[in-house]
Amino acid sequence: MDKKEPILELNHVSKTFTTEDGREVRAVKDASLAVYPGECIGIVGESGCGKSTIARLITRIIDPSGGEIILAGENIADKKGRKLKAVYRDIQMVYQDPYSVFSPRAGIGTFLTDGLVYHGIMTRSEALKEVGKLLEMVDLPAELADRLPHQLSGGQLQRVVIARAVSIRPKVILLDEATSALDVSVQKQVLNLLMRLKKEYNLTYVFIGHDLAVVRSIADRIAVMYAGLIVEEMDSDELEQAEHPYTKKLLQSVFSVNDRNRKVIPIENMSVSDENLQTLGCPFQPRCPEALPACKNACPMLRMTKSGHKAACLALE
Amino acid sequence: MKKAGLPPAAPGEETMAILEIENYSISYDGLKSAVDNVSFSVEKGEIISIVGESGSGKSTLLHGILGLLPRAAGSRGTLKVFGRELSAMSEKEQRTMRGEKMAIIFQDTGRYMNPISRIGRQFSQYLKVHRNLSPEQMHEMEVDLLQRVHLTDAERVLNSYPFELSGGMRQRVGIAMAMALQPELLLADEPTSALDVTIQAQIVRQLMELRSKYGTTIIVVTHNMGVASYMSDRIVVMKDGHVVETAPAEELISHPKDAYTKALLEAIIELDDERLA
Repeated sequence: MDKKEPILELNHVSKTFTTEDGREVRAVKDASLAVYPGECIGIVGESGCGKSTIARLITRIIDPSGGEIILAGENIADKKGRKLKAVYRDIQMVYQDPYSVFSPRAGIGTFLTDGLVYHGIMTRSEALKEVGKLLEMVDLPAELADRLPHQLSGGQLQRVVIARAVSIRPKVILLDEATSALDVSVQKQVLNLLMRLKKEYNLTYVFIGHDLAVVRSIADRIAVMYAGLIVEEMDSDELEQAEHPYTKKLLQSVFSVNDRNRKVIPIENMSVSDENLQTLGCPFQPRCPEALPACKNACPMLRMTKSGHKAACLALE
Repeated sequence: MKKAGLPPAAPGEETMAILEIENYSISYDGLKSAVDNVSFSVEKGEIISIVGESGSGKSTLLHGILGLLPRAAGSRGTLKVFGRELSAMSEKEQRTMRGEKMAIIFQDTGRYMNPISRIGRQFSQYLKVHRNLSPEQMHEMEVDLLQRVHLTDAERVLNSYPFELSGGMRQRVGIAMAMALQPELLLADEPTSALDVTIQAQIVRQLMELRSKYGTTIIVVTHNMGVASYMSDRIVVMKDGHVVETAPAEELISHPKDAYTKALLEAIIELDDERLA
């Protein structure tokens, strides 16, 4: 692909939270990632791997502990207060649970126009005239504008959320598990809708999810996270040739309906100590089938591998 | 296990059936049925998956099998567990049967644990209800059961509070507890839905190991077709309270007959699918 300037770039971004008893939890460690205009980048990983923290850093809901977040050439990592308002316009977000973003007593039309009004793009009365068009854009009937959130299904609500995100023409739309709460049939429709909108409005997506197959279906490139680290980054088409041991384990763990050969999944032992171990070395090392002695002492960096993926693994260097 | 085709109980040699359900319905306060005229049977040693989208009635049915429906719910039809009509049993008989002969694993076992009591204490309380054992015997049994589900440092697990364990470990504790009394029938309500994929794979393997080691009959309720396809002998597809199709897993996946089953399979996104354009 012909690489233009990235629209969004993370340079060595990290985020450390401090717990009540003073312990430090490094939720995101030294993450670097570039997102180009018009593409969809997927971030996958298991719960607690830091993928949602990255989402909250990009949207500047929380402050990074270190590193740069560059949006359209401008570092937004240390912006504060009123200056953030422009950032909030440029980056829109769609969450997992559509019910939680609606005020139960505000009509769908009001919800849809809030973004346009807040960012001063239109007055409320102007915006309300656009509601029918916005609903149509996401394949919903215009008469839903007068309904209340509880009168819509989860899939319909998620479409409304997407319409609002698109309405203010952001530079990046961040989709955090945006289809995970939906039933499979609805999920596929919403994914197809996202793809159509991406083409029509040349949108840029960051799609965060735990379901490898879903992320692969929509993303051009995939970043895999484990324990706060981006451990591998590659084109979606190359997922099958993943090199990092964790990505390989993820692939091995996905049940496919068509896999009637029943792939062999070895049973792992689990112990309390392993789970809570904070190592100096590679965080995946306690579970890694390919671990080297050196992995206990050194945390690998994301590097180009021989086959052109980026992977953070000592065994691949 | 071996027979193909739709199995609405041929009453001739059903002596092996662990569970027989015939024209069974559940409704709340006489409203529309949550489970509507369902029939199927489960034979000893089978793994059956009940799949469907949210609101299809699959969990309600599982609660019906357990005899744990809320008071407002009424049921009609036949539901026989181990050859006996469930509704004809007394509360006490039902309670003995749950635990001794059948057990359940929930979506998030941790939520059913007491948060301020150590795992070991809760495990012992459960054993005490059904068995008369000395504290030492109980401890030995607990350690053994935890090790069998591949929790290597069982002593530490017993000494932990639920929040100190990961979701996957808690789920294994749940399986160990459910298996403590060697039930013949294990019910699992979305046992892997709250777990990460690598852990989900582990729990699925664990459940399958129970069948191969102890011959446990397992009924799994799940919305994950991949899981159902991987682990079960037969699949029951539910929609709006009805059973729309029942067939051996391979047949159902490769030659679905019902339009809804086809649509459901069609909607699943797989790793080897074409990417969306």
